Amino acid sequence: MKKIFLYTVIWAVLLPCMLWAQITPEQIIKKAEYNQVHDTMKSTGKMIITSQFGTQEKTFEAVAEGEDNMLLTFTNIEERGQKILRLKDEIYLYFPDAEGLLRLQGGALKESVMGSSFSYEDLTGEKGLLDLYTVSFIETAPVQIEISGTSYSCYHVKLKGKRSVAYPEQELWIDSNLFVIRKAVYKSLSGRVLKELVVERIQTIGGKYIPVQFNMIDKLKKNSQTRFIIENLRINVALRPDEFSLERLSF
Amino acid sequence: MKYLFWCLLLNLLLVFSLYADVTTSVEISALSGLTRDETQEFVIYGVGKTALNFESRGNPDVRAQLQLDTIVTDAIMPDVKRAFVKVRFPGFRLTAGKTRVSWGEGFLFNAGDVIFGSMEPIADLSESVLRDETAWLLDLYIPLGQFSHIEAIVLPYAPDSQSAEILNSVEEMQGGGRIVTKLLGIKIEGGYLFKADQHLHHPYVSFQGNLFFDLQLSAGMEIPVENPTAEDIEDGFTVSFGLMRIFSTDEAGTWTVRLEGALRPFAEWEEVASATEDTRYGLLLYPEINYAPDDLLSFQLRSIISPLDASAVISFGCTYNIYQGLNMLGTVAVQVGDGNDVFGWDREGDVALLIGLEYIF
Repeated sequence: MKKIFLYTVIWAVLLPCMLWAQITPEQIIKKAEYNQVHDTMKSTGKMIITSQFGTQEKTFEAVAEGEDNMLLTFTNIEERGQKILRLKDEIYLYFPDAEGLLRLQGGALKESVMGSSFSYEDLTGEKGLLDLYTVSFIETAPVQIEISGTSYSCYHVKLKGKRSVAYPEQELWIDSNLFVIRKAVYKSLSGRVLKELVVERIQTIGGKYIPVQFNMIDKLKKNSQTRFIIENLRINVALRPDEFSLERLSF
Repeated sequence: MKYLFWCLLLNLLLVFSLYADVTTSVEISALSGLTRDETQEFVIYGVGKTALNFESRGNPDVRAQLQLDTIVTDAIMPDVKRAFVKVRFPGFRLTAGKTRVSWGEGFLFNAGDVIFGSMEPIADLSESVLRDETAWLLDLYIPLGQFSHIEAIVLPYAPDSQSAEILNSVEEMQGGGRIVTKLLGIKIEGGYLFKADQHLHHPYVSFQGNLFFDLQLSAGMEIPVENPTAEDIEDGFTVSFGLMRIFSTDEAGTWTVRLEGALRPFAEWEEVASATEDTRYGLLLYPEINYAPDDLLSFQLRSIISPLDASAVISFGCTYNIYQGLNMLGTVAVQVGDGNDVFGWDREGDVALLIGLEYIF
């Protein structure tokens, strides 16, 4: 009798604690976004684009502020000086030869950036995931996934678009210890897999775990993938007040 | 002598680029063509186009560029396409030298392009950028927030001037300004250029927005300085409009659809039997369809149509970006129309085939 009473008391204390301790999918996304979004950021990097004819390399400099603002300047010879400016709801392109600005809207946002597997939306948009998607667990307990021979414990969550978004459905594997996306699968409305992203390297900067090398595989094209490598990443750096203006874009 | 001068200049610049904080790039297009001459005989030709670029790097507030273009056939035709310095100061920026500024809206037709003029038809639709003229200028740009700015410009030589004189009369210069802003999602631009060389005032307005398509509308008016008549003003009134949209699907590639028009409301609206080069029709159209099945290959169908005399130039092109910096190009163009139409069969260049390679390194 005493034992039953003791077990009842223990369960009565532990059960609410366990329920309270159970992380929600929204919390997981928020923690992952904490690692992904920075007050300010400056970096250089490169995209290595692989197609059936071999590889092409595009180098760039990037400056970003929070979720909304980003300026990407290409520095490789072929596209030197071409820029992409992301503001809250708009993307502008600058072409130095024509001294011309182009505002991208609608379907143009799905266009490939410089022939890579990344679209303009992939590179610059949709960072406020919880505003755009409803999120749920696929597996409530962490699962093990293997990337390049290493096993990681990850939360496996599903994102469903609340409105018109780049990818109506996403599956994410988020590291249960570091809260960084380890793998993502992007799907169409019909559930067809469009792209797959695998994070290959993570760097710790300012107490954050930041993906600095990832590979995007275009599942609709044969032998098409883009490795995105971020170098010289600095976060929380001072930026000019006009860093994300059309003046800065067209300079 | 000219060859020697250019060889020496290139050597000097190459040596300079090795030691200065400069990035260098070279673009070479090697093209072979088949066309018909004025006697309607088929002729073949080879042409090389080169662009040698020196660009500054290092200082984020100073940008400078020297671009030397050369067209190589039997002879060499060199040109300094760009030579400018652009500097950002607190509150304003200054551009001095030979470069391009883009006023108004429009890919081919742009009534707001008061500096270079973009209302006349062109016969060569094979280039990726159809308007890229440059001019010597001094340009002051004052930003007024994230999307707005005012700009003032002085051009010592008219962009279309053929004069080789270095010293130009102040009565031959051009100057003006513009203001650009955004209101309710619509880019609004208004400006003015005084063309002292032609004794003309040239104001314009331009709008750009989005309603399923990217839409643009520009209007300009050339007004003679002395005693303008109603007829003068009507003749100088031009309007351009355009729409463009990119349809991108994950499975069927990317389609870009563009339509532009050049309107001269008070020009000829019926075919002129005795039309000359100076005859201006009321409407010209520029439709373009671009299809890119993947990221390396693209097909392009372009045309300039003069509906009032039922003539057109139609161009079909293909670009294949095989290796980094390398493009294979091919274009076929045909003109359709009668003898004195804007475009026509039985004239020089009425049919043209162009193939070649373009490499940037």
